[in-house]
Amino acid sequence: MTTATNTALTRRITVDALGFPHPSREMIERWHAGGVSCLNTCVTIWGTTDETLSLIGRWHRVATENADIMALAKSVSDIEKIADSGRVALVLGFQNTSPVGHDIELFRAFRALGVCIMQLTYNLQNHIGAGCWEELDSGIASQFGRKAIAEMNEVGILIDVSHCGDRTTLEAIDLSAKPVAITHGNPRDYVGTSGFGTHRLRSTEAIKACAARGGVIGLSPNPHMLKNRAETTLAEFCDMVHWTLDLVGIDHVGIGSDYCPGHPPGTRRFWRYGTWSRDNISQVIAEPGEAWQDWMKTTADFQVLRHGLERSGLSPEDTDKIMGGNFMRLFRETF
Amino acid sequence: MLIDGLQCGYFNRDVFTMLKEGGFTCVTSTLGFWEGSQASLDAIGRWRRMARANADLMLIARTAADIEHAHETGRVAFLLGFQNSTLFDGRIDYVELFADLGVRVVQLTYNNQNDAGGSCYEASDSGLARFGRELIREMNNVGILVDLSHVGDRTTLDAIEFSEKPVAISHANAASLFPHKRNKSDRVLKALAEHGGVIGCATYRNITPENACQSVRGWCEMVARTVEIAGIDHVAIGTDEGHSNTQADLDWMRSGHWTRGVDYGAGSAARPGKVPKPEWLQRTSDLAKVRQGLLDVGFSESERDKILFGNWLRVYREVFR
Repeated sequence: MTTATNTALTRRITVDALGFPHPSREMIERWHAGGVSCLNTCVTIWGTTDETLSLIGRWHRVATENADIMALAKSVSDIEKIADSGRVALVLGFQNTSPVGHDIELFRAFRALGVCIMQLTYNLQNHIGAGCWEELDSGIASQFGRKAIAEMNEVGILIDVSHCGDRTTLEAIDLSAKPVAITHGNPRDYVGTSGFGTHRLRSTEAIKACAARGGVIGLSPNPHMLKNRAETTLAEFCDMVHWTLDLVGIDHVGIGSDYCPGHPPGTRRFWRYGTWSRDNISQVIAEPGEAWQDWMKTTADFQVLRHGLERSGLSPEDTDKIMGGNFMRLFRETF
Repeated sequence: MLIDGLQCGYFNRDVFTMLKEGGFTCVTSTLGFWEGSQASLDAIGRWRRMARANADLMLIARTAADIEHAHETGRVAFLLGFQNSTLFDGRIDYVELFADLGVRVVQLTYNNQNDAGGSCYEASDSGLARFGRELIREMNNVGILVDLSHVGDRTTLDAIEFSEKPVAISHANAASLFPHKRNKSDRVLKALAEHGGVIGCATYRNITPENACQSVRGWCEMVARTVEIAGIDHVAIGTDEGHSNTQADLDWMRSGHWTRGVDYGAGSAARPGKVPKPEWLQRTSDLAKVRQGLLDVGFSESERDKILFGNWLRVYREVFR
């Protein structure tokens, strides 16, 4: 395949830069129906090494048993082949580095199993840095944190800073030799506050720094991170996209749905409170459920975003970049 | 009585015999540095097997009364300790479970930052993190002593303030007497004392003044200077003696799995490997020399006894359940 056709194909690929479906055919059908050809599929948030291996095993089985609509992708060329066949390319990712813990060798090991994207921290502090729910954030830890970033660069794992603390986010962007992603996070200065707290939204400084180093910001239609929550209209969502485009330009904005369906009752609570607290944490204003807005009830409606963006005045070519081209470019540079 | 707030290395019948003959009443052992819950359970299992096989020499203590019982029956009491909170795997429920299994001392962080807080070798110390606060509250509730020896200064101060029970710096020295990242500032030692805590003075050469390694008198003088900083009710012993540690063990302690490079821990490029034991402490049982040594530097018998065992026993009584 020539570079030209390669690029053309890449442009047509629709990327959802973060979803967290329960591992099953029924859930992936929602992305398939929505014309999503590549999904950063979150495997785990708090999993230990062995729990995570078990989940990866499950995703391998689900993909094998449902090869008519999905396949696991370990490279950009895998994504292109799978997308070309009309299926969903599942790129495995973590929303935390808990499966790695403090073992430097495990980045390469998980990469070999197909894990191409890792968020450094999830809301709290760990061996690498701080999360967005910490009051204190001393940035990337000098001991393991810096080594972890260098190792992820080396083995081809895209660094995600969506749930990281502000200082950790900026230092990760700065320390990484490769561009970094905000796979799912909306701009704080546009939205104000979110159902997950103000600091879960990304600062203008972080968005600009991420883009300046070649990264991509995945804007999310998750109502809990929208200005008017589930009342937000598609036009208002597109206004947020334009606000961000004005900040960083057309090459650094994508979509990360943050759509997380199919999990048993109580799972959302587990993600937030994990196993780390006995208290009800006040950070979460409401217990976010799955009730999405009328114009996008599930990711089966994903292409409504394309129509909305084109109606808002973007050219088909620019819309392609937002719908997947930008993240494909970033994947090519980092995987 | 003689209580040592921290030892590590390989324990076996020979070591138990030596410690008994050296007059030790109670020793906190190190069951892990980097290990998660599963390996930590293995370590507890090994200690239980050792306790069964050596019940004539030692026992695993859960309370101050157990320590007194060991003393009365001529045995050495061991407190099960961990030098990192990784044994909990980030799960708050595991704190109570490990307490039920007999764990009594847990250090929040070991050398590197973790989910609980910052550590002594980090360029910047995060302070006590959210999970760190949760951990301390839970450790207070279930009766595990919070140890802050390898913890960063800021996190140490936060933890001293946050804990509702006295906390320990089980094995370190005063940084004003020997500047080292592992040692503790006067500010930390005064805050520790204000909140009823105890520092165990160490004999580990990398963090101990040279004159305190040269003679028992020198070491006892260091203890006297530490008492001037923290007060007589807040200074005790935590040697950091290691039994039969090899270079491979040292490498695990320092580099764990977190780096492929060389980490010197408390050592340095100039002093990379095992350091010689203090001249006066070639065998751990030689620690008995401090009984007279502390009197020789001016402590009364009742003051000496606080340092030898009284201060630790008071903290254990307040913390253990």
